[in-house]
Amino acid sequence: MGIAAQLIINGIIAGGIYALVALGYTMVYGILRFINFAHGEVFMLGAYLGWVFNILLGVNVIVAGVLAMLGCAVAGFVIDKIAYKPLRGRGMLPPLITAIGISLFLQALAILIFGAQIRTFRTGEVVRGITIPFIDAIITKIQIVIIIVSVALMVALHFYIKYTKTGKAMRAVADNYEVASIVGINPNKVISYVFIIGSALAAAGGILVGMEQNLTPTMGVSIGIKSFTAAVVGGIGNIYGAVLGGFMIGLIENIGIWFIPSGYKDAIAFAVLLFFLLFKPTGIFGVKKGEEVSV
Amino acid sequence: MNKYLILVSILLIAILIAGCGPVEVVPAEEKIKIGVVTPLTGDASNFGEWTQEGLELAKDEINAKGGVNGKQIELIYEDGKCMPKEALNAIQKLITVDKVSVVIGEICSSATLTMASVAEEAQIILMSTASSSPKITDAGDYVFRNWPSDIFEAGAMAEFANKKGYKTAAIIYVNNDYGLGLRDIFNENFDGNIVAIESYEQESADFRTQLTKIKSANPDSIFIGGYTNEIARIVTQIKEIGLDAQTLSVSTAESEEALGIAGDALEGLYYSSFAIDEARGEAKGYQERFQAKYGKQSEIFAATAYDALKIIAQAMENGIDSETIKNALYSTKNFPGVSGITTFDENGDVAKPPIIKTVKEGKFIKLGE
Repeated sequence: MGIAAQLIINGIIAGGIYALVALGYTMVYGILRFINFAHGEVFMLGAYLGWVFNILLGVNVIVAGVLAMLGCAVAGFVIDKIAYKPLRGRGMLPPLITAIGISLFLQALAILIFGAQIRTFRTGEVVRGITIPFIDAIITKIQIVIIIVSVALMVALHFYIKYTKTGKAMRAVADNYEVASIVGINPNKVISYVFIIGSALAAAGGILVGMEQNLTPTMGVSIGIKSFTAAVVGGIGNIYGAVLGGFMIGLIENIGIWFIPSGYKDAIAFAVLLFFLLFKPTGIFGVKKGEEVSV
Repeated sequence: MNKYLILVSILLIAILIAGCGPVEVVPAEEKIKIGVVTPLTGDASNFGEWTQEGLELAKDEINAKGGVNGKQIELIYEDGKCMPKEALNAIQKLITVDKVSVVIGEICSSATLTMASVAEEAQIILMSTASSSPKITDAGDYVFRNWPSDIFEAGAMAEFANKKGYKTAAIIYVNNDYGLGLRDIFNENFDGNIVAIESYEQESADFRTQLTKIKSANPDSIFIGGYTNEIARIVTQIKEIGLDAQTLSVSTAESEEALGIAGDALEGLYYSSFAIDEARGEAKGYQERFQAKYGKQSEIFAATAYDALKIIAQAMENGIDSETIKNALYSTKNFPGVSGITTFDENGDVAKPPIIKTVKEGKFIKLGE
């Protein structure tokens, strides 16, 4: 029982992070129909901003987290305005390539400013995690925070999208860009909000992972790819799909290693991606849309 | 021709000339170029930094004494990122663009092995200062290394585990040539039962599932074969998931960075390593000069790099074509290096006796001290 429970817990922790980051991919895709490959680097940036505020400037960790989310929200807004907005309406390839460029730029920038070495949030002693009663699995305090914060943010996003005016506008623009602009919604404003919210969520994920596993300038790469996979599996463009996909990937890769050698951990996520691309390219919740253009 | 075009051209030329900076005292052709491929970014960049520190110190000392036969040494650094693909691009650039006859690098075995085939084909000397995979022994005639094969380190650790009387051990290793070499040698030399073998991808940060599997096998000891940052994260997570087993590792564990990441979780780790033997005069003076230049003590990885460049410079005294250097390297006997007395065998390998060290109160100490 202990081992199975432990693997499920591990999967939920990883899944929570994938889901948070996947939301950013899926929201941008839902509206702009392009994969923002720089999103993983925004995640990394969030972790570093949190580290700067908390460790370098000594700000309380919760305040530092909020500041980092704000910082990344601004970064996301600026990236969109500088890099993607001028390319709007020029097909799918130019913004995609630009996104890869931005991703490399942000990584290089992080190396330049923070150096290539590992940074850590850890200040105290390393302690044995808490044993969860009855199921005999171990979880650390930070991991509990990861689960609580990621679920809370996802619930908050749900209410935001569902009930606020901007949230409704987002759904409208995602549903039909032209019609939404005809009825008076300013798509550019909505797109800015999407980048702001997506980046803030990624920043939260970055800080949580940074607290648990330390920081490196390349930390966004593998999480970015896994979260992208999660977004595709869940049905890209659908935020509930992203959440489901995130937890699915987290659980599948952690439970999967129980049966196959652990060296294949990364391969599991990609096998799942391949499976979906071949047999259900729209993902679990995805709907096939007529106007989608393939690259 | 448009007058603006002329203006712009003049400006461009002016910028180009200005960009060249101060005029070099020594003409370029009088310099001996040596290529260096080392991880300057990525998880292994700490090794790259140490390598660079050792090389720069050696270069400064050689050049201050008039260089090699009056020619100054110039080091050209390329980022190998500890990755075969990056290292391959780097060495190809060094061979075709910079036309070097000697390349120092890489740190990581997989990267070194990839470069070895290119160096062999181009008949360029490749000198690794830290790669330890047993495969490098047979990598080629032009391939040398100033770091002993894993047979020494992992073998010494397995023997130590036997002596300690551990009945069972688990192995967690990085899935590349370095990790595989460590795994195999520990596996062969450990007398008890290996109850679990788990691997992970290079630069991983989350080892919980592998460790959960190991925990269920309940071993007496865990042998970790990986790079500094990974070892630090693994020992942290071992403690967090409540896995009670003696941790064992190799020289990659020894770094201030690992202490910074893992803190007290690193306490009590046993690892095999090579040490700068400060009892010998060369090494003592080296530490003092290193301290003066960088304000800190030298890591062993800086020392092997320092020695490597000194050995290469000595080998270049008879001529700087790769054939001459190669023969001179093979005939290097008992070079009094700071990382040990160095002799290359017929495979370009060196032998240095390993020692067992441990971490106590945030210090890396020799066992028994």
